[in-house]
Parts: sequence; structure tokens; C-alpha cells
Amino acid sequence: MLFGEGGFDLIKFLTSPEWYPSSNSNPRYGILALILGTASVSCLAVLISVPFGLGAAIFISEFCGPKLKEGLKIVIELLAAIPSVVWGFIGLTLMKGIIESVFGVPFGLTVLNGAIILALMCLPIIVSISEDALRAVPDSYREAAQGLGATRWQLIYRVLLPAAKNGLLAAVLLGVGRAVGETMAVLMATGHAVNIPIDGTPPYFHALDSVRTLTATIAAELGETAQGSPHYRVLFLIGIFLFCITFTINLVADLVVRGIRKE
Amino acid sequence: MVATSQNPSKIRIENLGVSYGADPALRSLTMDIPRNEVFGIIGPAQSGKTTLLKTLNRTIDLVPESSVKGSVYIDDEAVVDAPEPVPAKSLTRHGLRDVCGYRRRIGMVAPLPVGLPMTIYDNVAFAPRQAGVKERGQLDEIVERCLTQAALWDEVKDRLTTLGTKLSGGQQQRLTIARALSHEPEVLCLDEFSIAIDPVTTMRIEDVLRELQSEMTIILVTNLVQQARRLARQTAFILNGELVELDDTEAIFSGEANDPRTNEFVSGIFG
Amino acid sequence: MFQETQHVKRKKRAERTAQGVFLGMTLCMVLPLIAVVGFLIYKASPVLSIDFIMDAPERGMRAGGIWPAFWGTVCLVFFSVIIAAPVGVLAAVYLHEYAPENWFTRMVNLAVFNLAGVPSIVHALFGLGAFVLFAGLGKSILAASLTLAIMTFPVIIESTKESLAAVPRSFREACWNVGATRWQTIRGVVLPNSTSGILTGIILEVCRAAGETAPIMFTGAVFFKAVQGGDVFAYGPMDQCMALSMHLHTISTQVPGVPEAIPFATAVVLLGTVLVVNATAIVLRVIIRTRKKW
Repeated sequence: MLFGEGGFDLIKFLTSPEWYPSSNSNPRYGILALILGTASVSCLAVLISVPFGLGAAIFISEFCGPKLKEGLKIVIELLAAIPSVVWGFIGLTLMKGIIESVFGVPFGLTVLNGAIILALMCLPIIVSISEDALRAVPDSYREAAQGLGATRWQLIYRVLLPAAKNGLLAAVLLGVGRAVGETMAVLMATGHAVNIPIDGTPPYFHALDSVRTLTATIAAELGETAQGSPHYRVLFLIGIFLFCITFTINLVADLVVRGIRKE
Repeated sequence: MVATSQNPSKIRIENLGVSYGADPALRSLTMDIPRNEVFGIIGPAQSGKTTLLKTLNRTIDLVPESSVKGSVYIDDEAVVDAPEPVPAKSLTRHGLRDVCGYRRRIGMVAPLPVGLPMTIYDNVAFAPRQAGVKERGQLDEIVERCLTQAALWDEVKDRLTTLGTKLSGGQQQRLTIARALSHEPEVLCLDEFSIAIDPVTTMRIEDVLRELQSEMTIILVTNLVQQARRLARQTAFILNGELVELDDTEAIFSGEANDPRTNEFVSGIFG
Repeated sequence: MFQETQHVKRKKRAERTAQGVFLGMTLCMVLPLIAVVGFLIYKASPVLSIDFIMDAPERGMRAGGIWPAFWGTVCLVFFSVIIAAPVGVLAAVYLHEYAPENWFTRMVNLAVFNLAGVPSIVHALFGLGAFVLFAGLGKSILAASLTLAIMTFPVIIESTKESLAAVPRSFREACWNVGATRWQTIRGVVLPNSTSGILTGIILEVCRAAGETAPIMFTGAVFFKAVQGGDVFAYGPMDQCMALSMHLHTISTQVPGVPEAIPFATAVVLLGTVLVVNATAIVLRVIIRTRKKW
């Protein structure tokens, strides 16, 4: 049924890059390009947001006075409150213009655009959970290190980060979960091309290509698909696949977080 | 009020065993507590004293994973009657059913003072209101009577709308006693009531207890030797969930008690 | 005079560098917020006014205002709150105050936690399948609100549980000791002292629901509906409606020739409403925390 022959082939569904669901003669439902679209945007987003998020968490937790801490926490909450469609709109307008002028590409809706927007969306979660994890490290560790004459940087690098690594890992995982599940922002910011941004030509990872993610595909195509048709069912199947991925990520993150709360 | 029986013991405990999960807190305790006097209980930490009090007022029902075996009678009425161990939350099938009505027959004062986050007036009126007393005049009378009995009325009578949590530790402990008295208990349990309050307030509360014992049975868990000697005629020594010895207070603290463990513990308290 | 050694000087420099680096990273969080808000307001200024909110769109959304979308969002949020808030709060009270510690309770807690992490598009698919199709509600405000309610209620449960847990156990024990039932204790002491936290949690979740697009796209929100400007009776529960979030998406991606200021102004109205309500809830929370009763 799904590839011109009888029966549904799960392996082909997951590994074929040919996504042509609306072709009348030979509809094909391979989601590899979409999976790689999601993966490339999410990974790049996490790669950008983790260092900045961690840095901000360290600043808030170790270098800040209480009033500034309260103020920064309010900033984080406000940043987290921005709706995803507004972020997508920013990607469509401001970020598109920036990328086009900085990199000289003709079309600024790319993996990089989506990744930067997603990074800004994931920052609040990464910062607050990392800050929780750093705060959970007992003060006795800090006092011991200071007693040995360590600078703040040494304290952070050698004592706090290793001690908080469970919580920091949970923060990263939850950020990944958020990035993978995001719909509207990537729909508007990454363009609409079903495309694999990785191939044999340098620079191997074409961050300036347009891609489409799993989430964006569902959002973009569900409205135009006939109810009950194979295309319709495949979109629901993608939804189940997404649910499984985010469920697993959240489950692992929860186990890790439960681990720090027990200590 | 339940009709009092002729039995000189207010509370009879027979083979009481309580466990939290697999850890036994009380082992086969058998004890009689006489009526209308102060009865002392001493023992080291984790020996089961608080568990005993919780079983007496049936708040053991609310502790998860706990199980109870044995019997407890108040005035010959079965509060707990479980020949085989049963989970504490199903004690309503093995003892008194109207647990909340029963709990109002027992007053409980915990070690750390607790003022509820409401006005002083509402703190003392809380229990009568839950029991159905609605008329303002009646509540006023109850509040004044209990705060007077608890030696707190003079200090707070002009500020009954202050939050209970804003009082000092000693005042909050007296407020707790007033709350406990507001439902006219037959038995008043005090679990190391003086550990978090100043000596002057402690003395005032001890005077209160001396006055109250003619009206109710008072169980005083304490590790202050002088306090037990001042107030309790009889004292029980509980160790590791077992009753080691029950005797006149003077005999327990004399250093020549029947059980060597008692002498060892008592000499430890003396330091 | 104590002279600093080279070693100490180097340490101090490293310390200052580290502080500067982390400060810089923190600014990367603060500056985008200011830049985003500023950029949007700047580009939206030609058309921003009260009339913009109160008027209906004209000329195929290339002029006029956004009233039907604004009011549609208000209706959706209203219906989803009156469904999710009572259910969420009561469920949280049960889970925190009554539920015994067994495998069933653990499963429920796990399910609530995972529901909170489900992507919004999956909520959309669920809403489509369960409310629009299976329950036969069709695309309607009711179906969309139910979908939004399912999306917001796990977070309402979690934040209510946190507010309940903030009330010390000693208060509950003191109430039980004087013979109060569990419900009398909850009603008399626990709930009155956690109401502010519960309300803050609900308000914050409501803001999130107002900004969501995917869950309403297929369950009740439409591209266009002819509605008079300022009409508050425009929508009934079984009608379809326009919504601010969906409107922003539509006019910025699917309608050609819209003057630039209009989508920016729509974004400002949506973002502005969400941020103002959020900030109010946060400030309220700070004020309440400083006026603690214990």
C-alpha cells in the first residue's frame, strides 16, 4: 500500500528519503529526509544553546547578587513565555534578513535560521534546570574548595560541574526534547524543502540549506489531505513516531532528575 | 462524653505491636495507664514513644506502610482490636470506626509548637467548628476558657486577630494546648512539649497540667528528670519498643530500679 | 606591603575573564528578548492603535484590524480554562493529599509528567482524532478548547501539587490531632494557603494556551470568518473561530501583498498580551512570597 506494493514496510518508511505523498501515480512515504531535517535543526540548536545556557546558569548561580538573580529569573520566564508562532515570525523576518546579509545566500530560511530560533527557545529550560542542578550542590563543596584557595573558575570547573553533571545532563535532554517537538517556529523558519542537508560535498553539513522537519510536515500537510487517505494515515503515523521519541527523551530525563532529587 | 467505668485504669494496652514496613517500632507492649493523674513515659530517641501516642489517638492510620497488632482499650472500649497484624489504614475495621470523633477525646501536643496560619481565635475555634459548633457566643466562651486554662488568655486577649504563626514559640505551644483543650478531651498527651520553649513558659505549663489532672488523664512523654519527678506519680521506661519497667517515679529515678537497663538509662540522663 | 605575585595576578585575571565570559553568555539571553520586542514594536508602529484590535479585517486582511482573531483567542482561552483548571486542581489535590503510594498512583504521576512533554502537533493530532472526529464535535471552539485543556492541564497539576507541598506537614498533623477529617484540613488550612500559588500556575498556563497555534489549527481555528469589529457575541461554542496565533501564521506565510506593518502589529498584540499577563503573574508571585504567613 505504501510503496506501490501490498503491505506496509516500516524499514522503508523510516529509511527512504523519497517523500512524495501527493503523487498520483507513485506515492512514496519515506521520512528519512524529514528525520534528518528534525535531527539537523535540533542538534545544531542544542549545540548553540547548551554552552550559552550553561554559562548563563553558572553566572546566575555563582556570580550574582540576589536582586540581580531575581531579575534574571524574570527575564528567563519572559523569554520562555514568547509563543512559538512569534518566534517563527522572527525567523521569517528578522533572522532571514540577518542570514541573507551575513552569509550572502539568496534564501534565508535555512537550518541555521531554525537552529538559532530554536536555541533561543530552548535557553530558558536549559538555564533553569542547570541552575537548579548547580544550586543543589551542597555549600560544603564550595567552602571546601575556597578553603584550599581555589579561584571561582577552578571551583566551577573542577568541583561544581562534575558534582552537578546529572542535573546538567537532564537539562540538555529536556532541551533536546523541546527542540524536537517544536512545530510552528521551525515550520516558518526552515523553509519548505524536503531535503537532506548532509552529503558528500564540503562542508558536509549544509546549514544554509532549507529543510523540513517531522513536526512541520504534519502541520503543513494535514490541512490539505483527504480524511482517511493513506497520506492522512501516514501523517498520524509520523505523529506516533514523534510521540515515541519525545516520550523516551522525557522518560530518561525524568530518571536522571529523580536521581539528583534523591541525593 | 463517654460514661466512665469503675476501672482504675483509664487506658489498657495489651500486646501492642506497631511496625513501619519491616521495622518494628513497638513490640508487644502491655501497660495500664491510671486515670486522672499525670503518667510519665521516658526513653531514648527512636524507642517508640511517639508511635505509642500516635496509636492512642489513631493518627497511626495516616502513616503510610504502617501495621498494627494488639489491643488498646479506653474505659473498656476497644480503640484498637487486632489479634493479627493489619495495615494501619484499615484500623476502622479493627477498632473504633468514627475516628475523627474519637480523636477529639484525645488531646495531643507535639514537641515543636505549631500555630496554625489563622487568627488566634480561629486556632482555638477550629476544632469546635469542625465538630458543628456554630453559634458565636458559644465559640467565644470556648476560646476564652481554653486560652485561660492554657495560661495564654491574659497575653493575647486584646489581639485575638493576630495570626497564630506570629506568636513566640512559648506562646504557640500554649496555643497548641488551648487547641487541644478546645474539644474537651478525656486524655491529654504531651510529647516532649518543652524541648523548644523557654523555662519560664515550661513552668507555667507544668502548673496548668497540675490543675488539669483532676479533670483528665495526662500522659507526659519527657526526658527531663526533674519534670517527671515534679508531675508524674508513675513513670514507664520504654526501650526499643518494649516496656522495660513501670513503677513509681521516685523508684525509677532512684538508681536502684528493678531492671539494670533502667538504671543505666537514668544515670545517662543525669550525665 | 604585601606585593601580589605574578601567580596571584594571573589567577585574578583568569577570574575576571571567567566572570566576563559568563556575563556575556547571560547577556545573550537578555539582549534577544529586548531586541525581539523592540524590533517588533518598531516595525508595527505605523498601524498599532486601539482601533487595530477593535476593527475587523478588510480587503482580504490587507487592511483593517484583527478583532475576530483577538476575540477568538479570548474565547478559546476562556473555554479551555474553565475545563482544565477545576479538573487539574482537583486531580492535584487527590494526587497529593489522598492518593496511597501504590503502582497506580505512580503510573498516574508518570502519565501526567509525560503528557506535559508531548509536542504541540501531537496534541493537535489527538484533538483532531478524539474530539473533532470520534466525539463528533466537528471543527469547533469546543473541540479546540478541549485540545488546549488537555495540553495545559498536566502543567496545572504539577504547579498545584507544588503549591500544596509548600504548606508544611506540621499544619496538617495539627489539624488531624484535633479530629479534623482530611477534607476539613484541606479546606480549612491547605487550600487557603496555596490558592495564590495555584492561581499563578493557572494564569501562566493560560498564557501558553493563548499563544499556541498547532493544537487549534485543525480543531477549530480557521483562516477567515466574517465578524463585525468589536462584536463580543461573534462566536458560540460550536462555531469555528479565528485566533491571533493562527492569524499571524496565515498572514505572514499565506496571504500575498499584506503591508508589512500588519503582521508585525499582530505579533505585537499577541506577544504584548502574553508578556503583560505573564509579568503580572510573576510580580504577584513575588509580592505574595514576601507577605508569607509563616
